[in-house]
Amino acid sequence: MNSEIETNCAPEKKLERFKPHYSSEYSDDAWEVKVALPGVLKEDLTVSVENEILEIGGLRRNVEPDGWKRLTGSDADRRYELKLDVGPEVDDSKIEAKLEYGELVIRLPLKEEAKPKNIQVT
Amino acid sequence: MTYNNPLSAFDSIFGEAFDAFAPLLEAHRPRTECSLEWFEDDANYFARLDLPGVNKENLNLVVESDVISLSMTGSNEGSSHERKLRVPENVEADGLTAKLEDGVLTLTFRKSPERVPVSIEVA
Repeated sequence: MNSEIETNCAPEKKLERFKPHYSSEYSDDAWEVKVALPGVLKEDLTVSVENEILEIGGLRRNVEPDGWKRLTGSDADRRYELKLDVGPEVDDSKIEAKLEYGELVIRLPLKEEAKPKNIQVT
Repeated sequence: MTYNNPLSAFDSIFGEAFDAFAPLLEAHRPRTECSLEWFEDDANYFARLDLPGVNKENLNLVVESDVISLSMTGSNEGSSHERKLRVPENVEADGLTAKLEDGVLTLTFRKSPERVPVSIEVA
């Protein structure tokens, strides 16, 4: 006989998932991606590349100061998730990412051989 | 008290349709993220607004009558856009402060004294 005394289930903190807004731009030597991640702190953000897929995950914690009463919207934390196909032209080892003002800017340099080359005309 | 929720006109149209088909559509339910939230405490109203990529230098706040206009230049060169919110009723005209952190703008509106709860002593 199971004699464990049951207690209440603690309600799970709600989590909502969203795909964040993002923009991307190519230049001759790099691909630049900007991802909107308002309210996400560096320690709650992961950026990784595997098999030519760039994966971004960020947790936006809902923080309400003591005494605040919510009037609209949801009190759930939000998780931003984005996967982008970067293709074979990107040099994995040189990717840089910076989070500032709630925006993640990722710079993905192209491999040397993928950069456009000027051709000398004789 | 009315809040500026541009999508509120669509709530009843879409809400009912989605409720009826909820089990089928759960996986495909379009997610509209709410980028404006309102709060209050005894002395203030607070609005929290998402402005990713915007820093203090790129943001201009103007209050005219009961409308706040936010104009900002984005991180992309040459991009600029504007958003407007309605100022809540019964707040002090000079009681607005703004804080921008991690792409989230928090506006604080101090309530007019007559809105602050006052306890009355019973003789």
